[in-house]
Amino acid sequence: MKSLKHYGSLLFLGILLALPVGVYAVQHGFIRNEKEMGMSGEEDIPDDFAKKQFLYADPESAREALLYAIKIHEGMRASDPLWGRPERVDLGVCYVELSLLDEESGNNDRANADMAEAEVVFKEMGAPDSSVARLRASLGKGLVVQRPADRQRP
Amino acid sequence: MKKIALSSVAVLLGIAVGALAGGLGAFLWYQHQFRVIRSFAWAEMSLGVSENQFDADATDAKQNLLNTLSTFESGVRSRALDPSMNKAMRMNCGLIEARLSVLDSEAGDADGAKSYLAKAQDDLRAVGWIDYSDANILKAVERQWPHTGR
Repeated sequence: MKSLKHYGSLLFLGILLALPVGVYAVQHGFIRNEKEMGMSGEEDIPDDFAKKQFLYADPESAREALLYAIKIHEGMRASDPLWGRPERVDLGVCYVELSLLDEESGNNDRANADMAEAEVVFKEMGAPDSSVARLRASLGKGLVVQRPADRQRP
Repeated sequence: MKKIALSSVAVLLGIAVGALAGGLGAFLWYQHQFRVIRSFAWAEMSLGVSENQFDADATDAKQNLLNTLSTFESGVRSRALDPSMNKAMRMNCGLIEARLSVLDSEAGDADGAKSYLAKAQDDLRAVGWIDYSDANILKAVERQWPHTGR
């Protein structure tokens, strides 16, 4: 009985010692990587959606998708330690596309505000001042080429 | 001597059980707390793999696209997601169905191709696409590099 107690306490000691090691190993070997991948997916899926909606969808749906993508990008900017240059570019492009949609719908004030946001985003990463205007021009051309000209449903 | 050996065995067994229990506990906590994040990780991975397989015209492209479609269909129905995210999932469903239509068409299954394309049109129309004609949808899922055949 006494020896059983002795071995039991040694077993318990082993468990106590290894428990945090097991937690640490899974946390750093698996959870961290999968969580990073998940956060990237949570940001990439709406971003890709917004960019496709900008090309193919009606202005209201495209605008809604872009606003959602911007919301996700801004949220990740604050919470994701891996948020960096590619995500910043995606955010800037969303603002430029939103500005094009706003201009198209005749809301020039909102379009200018979106452009100002895009300029801040690109300036933060050291892009030259002219880059936003150039990007806007090239996205605008894409809009004309890839969208039906009159935006009417078939 | 025997006592020392048994004591070591008890400690080592404890270490093994403790490490497993700690790992399993951490995993179960993570699975419960971050269910949505996990689904994004797998959805994005699955989408990336199946799109690449479609582009490369791999033999298991269809099966992978079907698996990805099922993942994204769950996303469309999920109430844990924002409605805009549900729409993003639906657009992806439409594009996956369009790719399946291309594969069926290449395999000579005209009915299958037509059925998938009709589903793609429904999904893309629902998310606000203006031009959901066959030609425009198929152009949106064109392979990223030339199709060389199997």
